Amino acid sequence: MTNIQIIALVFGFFMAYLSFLHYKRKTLSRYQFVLWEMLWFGLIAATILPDRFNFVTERLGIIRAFDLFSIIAFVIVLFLSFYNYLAVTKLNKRLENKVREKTLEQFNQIINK
Amino acid sequence: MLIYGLLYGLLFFKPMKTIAVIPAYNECKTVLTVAQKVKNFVDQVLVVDDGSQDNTYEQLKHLAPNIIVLRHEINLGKGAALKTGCDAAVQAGADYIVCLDADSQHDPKSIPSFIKAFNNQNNQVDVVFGVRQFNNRMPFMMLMGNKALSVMINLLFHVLVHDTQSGFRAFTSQAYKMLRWKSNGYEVETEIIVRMSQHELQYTEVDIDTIYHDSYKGTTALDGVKIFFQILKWKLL
Repeated sequence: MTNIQIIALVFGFFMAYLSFLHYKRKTLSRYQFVLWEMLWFGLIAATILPDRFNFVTERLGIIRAFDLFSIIAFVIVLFLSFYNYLAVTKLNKRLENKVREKTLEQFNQIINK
Repeated sequence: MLIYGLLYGLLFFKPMKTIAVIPAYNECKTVLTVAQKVKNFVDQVLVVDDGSQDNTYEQLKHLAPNIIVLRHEINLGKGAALKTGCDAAVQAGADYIVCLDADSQHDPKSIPSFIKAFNNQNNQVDVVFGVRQFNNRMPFMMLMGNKALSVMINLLFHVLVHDTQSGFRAFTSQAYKMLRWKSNGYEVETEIIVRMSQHELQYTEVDIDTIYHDSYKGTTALDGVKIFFQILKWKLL
């Protein structure tokens, strides 16, 4: 096992533990927890047995399994960035409306005194 | 007939109501003085404390009972505070809304010239912009950025406003309904001009005096870049 594999393994297990912790703290729902665990254990499996993915790399015309993982990781990061962007925009809007609503309620109380 | 006309006028004449909206964020040193000075020129003053961490809100609440103070629980930005203030002003029955900054950079003595501009023109005016003097008192970066944005807006939206970033401006409450912006930050000043152009509202400009205080507050070069891209977005999308 190479050093990079060891680092990837430690990272995978750490992230799996973190997902479990947040599931227990009820930050993640069961569905979200299963989804994230699948991702981390997929990473662990790919780290331990990179040769098992040869049939995919051959079909896609990619030489090394590492390249395949890099591409998948890049796609996941892009998807998450877009998802986070949407979530943050939506949250900002909700927050702004809520704060303004409350402030205008306060204003109505003042003028109706 | 004349007597009837006079009687009608006396009975149903409603003076125009002017409300000043002052967004404030961590301005406890100046906001009280500014609000009190502004009160001499308008019917009502609305200060929107945009989630300040200093005692801007408490100070106004305790020391200025003649001023209405509203508070955003968290800091949302100048545009958001201004929008809350203008929404409240419309609810309070304002005819004219005057916006100015809380850091005492604007002289409230100019407010009557804004109101006069609404009434004095032969054609109807919806928006009045305060224009600062472009002299050596204005920071160089601010001057260049302002000029560049002015040219860009003129080219893209065919509106020539000489001071696009001045926060001292006024509009009728009817115009506000069309201007109601989406920007939460310092882009608000530019968005007002863009929306004014899109709705073909009439505007005029008045000269104002400005005192520059803190160069780290207000619009920075970074905001200028952000505004530049926003203008492109408003034009293209």
